[in-house]
Amino acid sequence: MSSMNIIIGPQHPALAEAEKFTFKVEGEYVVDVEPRLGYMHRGIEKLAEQRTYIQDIFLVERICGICNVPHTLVFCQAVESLADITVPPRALYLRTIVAELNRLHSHLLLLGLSAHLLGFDTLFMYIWRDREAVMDAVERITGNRVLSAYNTFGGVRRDITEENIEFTRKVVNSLPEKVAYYKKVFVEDPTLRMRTVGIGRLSKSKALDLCAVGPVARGSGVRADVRLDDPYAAYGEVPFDMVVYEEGDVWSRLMIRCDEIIEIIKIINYCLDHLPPKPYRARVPALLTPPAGRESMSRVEAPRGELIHHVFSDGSEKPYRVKVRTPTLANIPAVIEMLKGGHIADIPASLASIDPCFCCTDRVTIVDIKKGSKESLTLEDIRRKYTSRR
Amino acid sequence: MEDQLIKKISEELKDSIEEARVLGPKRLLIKTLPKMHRDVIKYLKDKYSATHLITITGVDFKDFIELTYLLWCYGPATVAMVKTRLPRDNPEIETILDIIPGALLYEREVHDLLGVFFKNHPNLERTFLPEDWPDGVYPLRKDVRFDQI
Repeated sequence: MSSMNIIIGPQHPALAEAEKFTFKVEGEYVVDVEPRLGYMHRGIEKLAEQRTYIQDIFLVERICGICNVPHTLVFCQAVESLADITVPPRALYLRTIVAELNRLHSHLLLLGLSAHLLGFDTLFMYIWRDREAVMDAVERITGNRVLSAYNTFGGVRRDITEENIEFTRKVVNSLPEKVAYYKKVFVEDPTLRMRTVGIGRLSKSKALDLCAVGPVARGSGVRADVRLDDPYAAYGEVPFDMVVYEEGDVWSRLMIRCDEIIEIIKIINYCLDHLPPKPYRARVPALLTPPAGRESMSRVEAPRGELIHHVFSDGSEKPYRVKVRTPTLANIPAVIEMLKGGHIADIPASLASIDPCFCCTDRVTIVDIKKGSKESLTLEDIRRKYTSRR
Repeated sequence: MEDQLIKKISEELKDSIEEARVLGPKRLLIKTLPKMHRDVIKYLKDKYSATHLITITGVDFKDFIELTYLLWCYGPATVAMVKTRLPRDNPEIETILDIIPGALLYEREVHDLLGVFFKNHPNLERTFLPEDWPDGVYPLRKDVRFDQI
């Protein structure tokens, strides 16, 4: 049978983000996939070299809206190790709580979206309703729903109040029962099973070979979770289990998220119960100048998998180089493997099962701000405007 | 634990590495020559099941380009950072795709943004930069300024 190419994207290949996939198909089957990345490039690695360390926290937070907490966390960890800053224990616990709340809302978001893509909109709306409660808890603790700007060098930006501890407990403890029901729907609903079981297979050996990370690797039986392998923040002290499924299909990747939510709730409750005493932040100079010639590579487990920042210092107040490797980029070779041999109709389900975040993946090119155009303001312009008013 | 590990690696790889030391908890630093990096990565993969390439970090140090292969060794649960330096005017290095197939996009990314040529890579095309990007301009090199682009 002769083959033909179908282009999906750049607008909206699965979720509402731009990326282009060229599928070589024979009849109903996908033979090969060629991804074209780069539609969402903002040049953040280069921009980070032009700004001071403290400004960069707010820059790296904007790499991704959904997993903004892991980005600031991993960047703060890398810079703290460069500049020999010790973080107080309370801050480590607070960082863990906010990182887990972030993972909680991200997993709920993905479960809901998967239901939506498989044509089950009622389930989508139920799950997203519950996600809102988690967002409320994040807003109460950090001051913002999405971009929380919570982590900073030496700790976190604000302490948690007794009232917010109670509120967070109430929110997370209302979830296990609901999530158990959603899991039951994913397990038992015949249509959802037909669309997910055995679809988008990724074997364990392929997952290892293609360096898959996070729920994608764990869904194929690879025991890899940075929280347990290379503990950071308070994870070394918190008891929890790694969720691993052996099947390696879309269904197992959804089950990973369902089961992880239960683990997340365990972690949050443990941290709230065992919060160490104050302070919640160590005093650090506003303008950090780590010694020249140092480098630090920090890893965290973002909701989508392993996230790393590799920071180099040259003794000045700006980093010499910031390298970011996001989980979706690591999972692109794996998703190509999943799509090969599958039906065209299964493309959205497979793509969504890695929980793609293309804003994360594309981050490296340079943004061209047109000189003289009235609308475009650089960060520097905005800063100047503010300081002149003061 | 890291000290014993680095001692063992230094002894067994003494012909192919320049320097090996502990950089911190769970971080090993191994410096090697561009011709030898494949031997080092193959050794780490066979001996310590370093099948997971975290990424390849490329840095332009003005006199040379430094590549850092970040490998997660499942065996001892440690990150091995394999470093090698390339001349800036003609940065060329052999691909590691046959050892670690997951290096596909990381090698393309370093090629795109820093102009490092990976020999025997099957598909070293544009990955992140737009189609109309000028040839020979590598944005993450230190001599490329914002106003030039």
